Amino acid sequence: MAGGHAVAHGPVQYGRWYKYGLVFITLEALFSLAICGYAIYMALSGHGGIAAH
Amino acid sequence: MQRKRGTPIGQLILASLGFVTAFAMWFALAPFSAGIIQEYNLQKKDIALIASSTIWLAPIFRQFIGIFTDKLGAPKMAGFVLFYTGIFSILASFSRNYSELFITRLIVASAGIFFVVGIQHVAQWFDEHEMGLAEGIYAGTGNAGAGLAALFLPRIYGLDYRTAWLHLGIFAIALAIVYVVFGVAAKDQARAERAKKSATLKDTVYVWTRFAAIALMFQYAMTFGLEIAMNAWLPSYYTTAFGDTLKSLGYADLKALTVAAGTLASVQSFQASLWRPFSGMVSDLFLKNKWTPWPFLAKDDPIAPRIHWAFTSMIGVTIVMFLFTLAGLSGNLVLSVATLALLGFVISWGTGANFALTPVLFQKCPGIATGFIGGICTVGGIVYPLIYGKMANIHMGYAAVAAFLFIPFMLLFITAFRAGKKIDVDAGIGSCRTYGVSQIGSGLKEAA
Repeated sequence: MAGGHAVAHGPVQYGRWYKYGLVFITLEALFSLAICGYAIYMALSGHGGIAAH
Repeated sequence: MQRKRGTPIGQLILASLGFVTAFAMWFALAPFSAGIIQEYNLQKKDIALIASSTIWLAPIFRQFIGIFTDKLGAPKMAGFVLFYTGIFSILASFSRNYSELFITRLIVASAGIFFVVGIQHVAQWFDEHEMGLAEGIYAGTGNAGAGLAALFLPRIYGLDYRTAWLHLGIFAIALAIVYVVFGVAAKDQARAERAKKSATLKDTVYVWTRFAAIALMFQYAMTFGLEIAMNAWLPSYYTTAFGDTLKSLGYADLKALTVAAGTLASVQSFQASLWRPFSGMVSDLFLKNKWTPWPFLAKDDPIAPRIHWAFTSMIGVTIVMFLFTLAGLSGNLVLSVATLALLGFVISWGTGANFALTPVLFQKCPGIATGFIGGICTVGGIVYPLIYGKMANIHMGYAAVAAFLFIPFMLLFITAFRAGKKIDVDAGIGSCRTYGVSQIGSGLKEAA
């Protein structure tokens, strides 16, 4: 069945992509926080949308 | 099967791109809800109906897409899903009346089944120890397609939803061709053949009737099910409930109101999607440190810490749903948006926790389990907006859903994984002999 792979035992070696994956998800999290901050700024100020003021 | 070259990261990027596109198409209706309401002169209950209609086909289609993906390989199924939903997105852009709009969008909304195809595709390319981050990146990034649609489509297209749907449809068809040409079903021939051979209807029915699968499905219904319900519902919620506040802030015309409501609504989607991979890492942390804080849940099993983290997410979601009702009742828009961000954050706990757990609990049949848990849970996306729309006070729906649905879901979860009882994924309605299949729970300790 799909994805039913054997489980690694002992020390595991991550692929080279793994550390870049961690950097990527950190950037994603920062982006999500930026969106959150931007939305609160919009709700507070009335700026940031289209044709506001 | 003819082998083509491919790399894990290349296939991950392809799967994530396909998922983003599918989700953007799926949720490309909600950001334009204000304009559609005006064009077709809709009422509040109509908004709720069209919001929920975008999810109707997902529970049915997701059940079977896992089997077909195992049989035919992810690239063919991904190409098929992107192609037909792209065609119907284009048709929806030319709809002449509400009925045509409704029917075409209903079919476009089945793009959500791409989730199962991509999960299977990524699982076929990564090893167990890398699976958490790989699936987290795929699912988290892909889910962000809904937020990207809410954030950018009204900014690019204004109220012109027809052009937006046309362009999305054309892009999806182009991507379908790319997926078929460059997609490779599995890392090696053995994996592809194993997947092809082992997905049967008997195995599927057996998984559907396991108590652990049912409990995890309800856990996912109150996290991912809630996420997609909110994606579909929130733009019209902010337009309706905070319309006057938004107008007083300067978002006076319909276009500005649409953009503002869409942006505020996207907060939930982005938090829920983009923090999802971190939740998988927290689940690993629970496992590593053997954290089992809940005395009424099983503690002794090696997999127990991951179950405790999943239950923690359920408590978080329930509490924040009550807070979101209170924030709405306060009439304070900033408080509402801040609470919404918190809701998205705790939802990500749940979605990340589930797929750090499901492939381990159901390691012999993760594709089928994903189809079941990821499929039936989307019923939540249909039911919750209908409940929200029926409430006399538009803010009260969140508390009602938490009290009358989420608390019972938690009780069911506790029953399935209760303390003093060994975690047995084969426990359910009927035994493996009844269904003529082999047990799925062996090897659990090693997996944990």
